[in-house]
Amino acid sequence: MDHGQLPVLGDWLQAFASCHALSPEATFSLDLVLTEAVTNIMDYSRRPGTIGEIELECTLQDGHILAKLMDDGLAYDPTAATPANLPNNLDEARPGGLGIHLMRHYTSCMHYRREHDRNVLSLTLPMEHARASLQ
Amino acid sequence: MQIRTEVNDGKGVLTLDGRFDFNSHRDFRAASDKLLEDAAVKEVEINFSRVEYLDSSALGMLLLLREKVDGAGKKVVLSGLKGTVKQVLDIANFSKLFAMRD
Repeated sequence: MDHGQLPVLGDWLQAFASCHALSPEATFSLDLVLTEAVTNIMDYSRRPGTIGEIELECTLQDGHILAKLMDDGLAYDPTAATPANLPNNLDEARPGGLGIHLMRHYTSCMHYRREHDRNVLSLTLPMEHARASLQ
Repeated sequence: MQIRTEVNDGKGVLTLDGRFDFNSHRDFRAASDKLLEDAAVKEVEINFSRVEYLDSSALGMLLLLREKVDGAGKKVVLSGLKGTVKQVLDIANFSKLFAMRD
């Protein structure tokens, strides 16, 4: 997969959100977290010169969205990434790390493990998190 | 994402419509560069009122725009921020980097 394949994720997400009647806020959170996670896998995990495959499982449980991303690329643990230093002025501003920062904000749990030469990233999103944050 | 450009009285406004993400990179750069090259434009306003989604790719594009605007001796303002779009900018501390108006 490359970045040009991201709309495939978007189409799946809209169908999932519609099927489960997710709120616009929960849909936004899930969209953002999955897009950031998949983009990171494409950028840091995919073996050079290979196509690569990413599997996604997503379920709802007890008011949470549980998403699991699995890929057969190089070992990459986004939970170990250094948190972004939030900029107080333009000199401090760097684009790197903002995606992970957003993922941490919109998830209540991020767990990574390497299993049978595959990356397995488990993400938990509170379904009402975004709505509560906006109030 | 659709981008509409308006120039009036020294102000160039880019009204963004749709998803502001990785796929917007080329169009956003082309539209913003065109305004920055216009000597009559002193201020660039990015209107988010029709944006339904943005992520870290969009934040990176805004940081790049901010650098270019400073280099060109112009100003940049973000407008029409609300809901989840405003929330993402707040989480990234962008209110410290950009002037914002309703």
